[in-house]
Amino acid sequence: MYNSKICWPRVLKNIVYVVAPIILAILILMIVCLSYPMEREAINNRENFLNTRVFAEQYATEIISAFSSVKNFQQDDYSTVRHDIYITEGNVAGNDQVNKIYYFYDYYGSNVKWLIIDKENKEAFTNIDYAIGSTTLDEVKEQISSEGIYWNYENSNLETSINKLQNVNYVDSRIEENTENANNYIIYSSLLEPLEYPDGIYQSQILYNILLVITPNAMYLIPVLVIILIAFIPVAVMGVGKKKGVEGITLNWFDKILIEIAFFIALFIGAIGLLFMSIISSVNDMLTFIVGITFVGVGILIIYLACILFFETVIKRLKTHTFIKTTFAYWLYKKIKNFSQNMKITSNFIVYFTIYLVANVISLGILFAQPLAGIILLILVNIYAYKLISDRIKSYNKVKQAINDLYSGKTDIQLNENDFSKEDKATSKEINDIAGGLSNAINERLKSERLKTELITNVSHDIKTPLTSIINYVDLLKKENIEGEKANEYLGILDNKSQRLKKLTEDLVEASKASSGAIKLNMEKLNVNELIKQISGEFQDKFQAHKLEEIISFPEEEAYIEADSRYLYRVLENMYSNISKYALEGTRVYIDIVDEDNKIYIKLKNVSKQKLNISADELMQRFVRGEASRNTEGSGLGLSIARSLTELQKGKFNIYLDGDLFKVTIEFEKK
Amino acid sequence: MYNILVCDDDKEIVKAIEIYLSKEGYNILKAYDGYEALEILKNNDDIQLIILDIMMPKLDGIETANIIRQDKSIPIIMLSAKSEDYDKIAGLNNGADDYVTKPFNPLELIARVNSQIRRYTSLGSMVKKEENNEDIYKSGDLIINDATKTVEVDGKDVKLTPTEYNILKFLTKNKGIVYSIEQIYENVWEEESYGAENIIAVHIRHIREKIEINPREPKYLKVIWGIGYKIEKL
Repeated sequence: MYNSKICWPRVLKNIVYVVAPIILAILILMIVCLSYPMEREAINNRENFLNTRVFAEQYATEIISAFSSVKNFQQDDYSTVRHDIYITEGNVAGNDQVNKIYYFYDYYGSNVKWLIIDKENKEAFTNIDYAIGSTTLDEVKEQISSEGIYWNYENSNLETSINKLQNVNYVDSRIEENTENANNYIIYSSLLEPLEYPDGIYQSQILYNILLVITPNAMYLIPVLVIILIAFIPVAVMGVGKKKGVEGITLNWFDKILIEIAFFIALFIGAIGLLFMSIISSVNDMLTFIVGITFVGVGILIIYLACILFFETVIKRLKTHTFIKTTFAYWLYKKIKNFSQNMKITSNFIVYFTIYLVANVISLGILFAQPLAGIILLILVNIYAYKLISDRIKSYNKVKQAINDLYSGKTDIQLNENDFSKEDKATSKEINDIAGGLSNAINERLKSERLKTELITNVSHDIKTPLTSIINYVDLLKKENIEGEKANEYLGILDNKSQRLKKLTEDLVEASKASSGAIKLNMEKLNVNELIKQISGEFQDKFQAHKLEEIISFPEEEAYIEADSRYLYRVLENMYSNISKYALEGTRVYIDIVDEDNKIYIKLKNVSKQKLNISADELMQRFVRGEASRNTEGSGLGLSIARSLTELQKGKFNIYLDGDLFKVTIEFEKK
Repeated sequence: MYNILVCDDDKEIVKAIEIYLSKEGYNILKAYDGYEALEILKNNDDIQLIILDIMMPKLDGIETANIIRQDKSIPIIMLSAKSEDYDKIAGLNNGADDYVTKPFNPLELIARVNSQIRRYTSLGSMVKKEENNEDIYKSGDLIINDATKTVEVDGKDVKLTPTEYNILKFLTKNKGIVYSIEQIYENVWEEESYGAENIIAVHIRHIREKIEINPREPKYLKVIWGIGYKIEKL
């Protein structure tokens, strides 16, 4: 599953994340529809919106709001006026009904055009922009349709084309509430068709149309959607934390912080979403309505993403069993536990510090009464405190030093506990014990290494004696001029193998001495360039015999290092001997001496005769050599000896294999 | 006919040495521990060389050599499986003149035996040679006669090429001093070194192969790796 290109749980989860909110929105809408009893009947009859009760109520609301605006304006109470008011006065021609026409500009816009006439004060109020400039009341009145949806009120008589408002007197009763004499007012109004402004009527119409579509299907769609949503939960849960090509749950930093902090972060993001939703608070035309809706959408999206973020981290934590551990309560529990463990030291410190403070306060108190005594006391208290602290620090530094010494391999430390403060006495004893134990362990190890070397040396002596006879008598046998091809062949094998056994015993002793460090070094400054020339001279004939061309490059200056010349020679002799044995005939051998970064590198490169299907580390292990070379000359200890000897001389010995290229780098500090 | 006492607790080794040395024309006396060796020495004054194993029962080679050295100056070659430096030093410090490790190369043993015998028996005749001749450079038994352009090691002539001869003469003339390849080049060729004369190293090896019994463990021409070459002051 993890090998496929697509991580299916993750893809499914993401599909759920997209689909689920859509379904949820539909579901909520449906539930709202079903719990909207007022319009149930209208929806069932599939009535036109204009025939619904909701419309009637919205229409009434617009009129009531217009009327109360007018009343408030007349009472000089502007607090609820949501209009700019323009006045056309003194020029109201042709009619003695009114003297002034007030034009109420509505920020929000209204789909209801209205005209309110105050007969008593001879004033008219309207939201029809015809009222601006020289005009007559009749001209304004003409703008109010009497054909479509209208609602007129005159002399307590209601005339309307809205069925739902015909027999309902609550509109006029509301108007009458607002004024002592409703008869003084004439109200004309009509609906703008089609609707132009995003007012309550418009919004109700959208909702109603949606309801009209959804409600008939809601009864059986709701359970289906609920089941789908429930089914989504495990799918989403399954996909959380899965990643392509990664086994198990992938956690990010958010999944590792305290769950409470994660919650607050999610909450904060949610709050940003809320902020978005409330950015456009005043809607006065279609543009702001659309922008507002967009912001609300973005806000909801942000809130939704915050929810997902929190949901994912909770699920991931539950999956990896870290939920409890990342709660604040657990964190606190841990802290308290740690604190109580450190309590001893801490409580001591608190006691001392309190005593110090109290002593200071007392001294200060005395200072006010007896300045001289106070100052002396203050100085004494602080000097004493300083002494205590500095003793403590000195003691602590000694502990630190001792641990540093131990760390750097100095195991012969013996601390005198009297040098330490009371608190560190036990520690100093413990450090002594550790140092003792450590040096014992090291001595034991050295001893066992020495014993091992001794054993190997002794065994090799015991082997050498019979081996001497074997070699000598084989040699004597060869000189006997034995007839028979086979006999001579066998003799050759005996000769070869006994010589190899001899080399093996010698190498074994050397390897064990080199690796146990039982070698006394005589370090001196020597010239690597000279050494390489010398060794190349030694091996020239052997290289020529194997048709190997040696290419040496020297640095510009002489390359001096510090080493034991005999053992460094042994190292390089081993390498040269290896090259002459194992390098492919007719190839070039590169020997580079490089002076770089204050180090001298001797790099030897050659092409192997045989396939090197083996790692460099393995190659360096004792007895391990390039495959199939077991039957050739040499003991296989050469590389191991070379490395041990190099390291004894504080050098570094590395082998690199690249295909058939065999490369050895020997590195020393430049002197 | 020189007599050689061979002492080793391993009879087969004694036998093998006897075979090799008999072919060289030596007469072999055999002993299998220290006491036997001392016994033979007590009864026989005509012994020119002793080959002595170290690890033997009853009386070991070191103690035997010590006792022999109390009244005799016969050359002793130690023959031992102990190959550590300190073993060799202990042997040489306790009266041995040479030290050969087991398993040994028969040719090397024969060469060393010959060398010791030559030294021991021709000691008197050497005095006769002109000691103060300006043309003679020597270190131990390495003698270079610049008048005759001949080199003699342990009384045996060695054939060298002119270049090898010049190098050896220069080093012997300044015996005990270590010279780098460059210095040798400049002194022998008497011209500026150009830094890539590892041919010198090849010559040195050839010289070693000619004058040393075991070129890997040279007695005269020593290699100080990473520094240079010198003729040991003997």
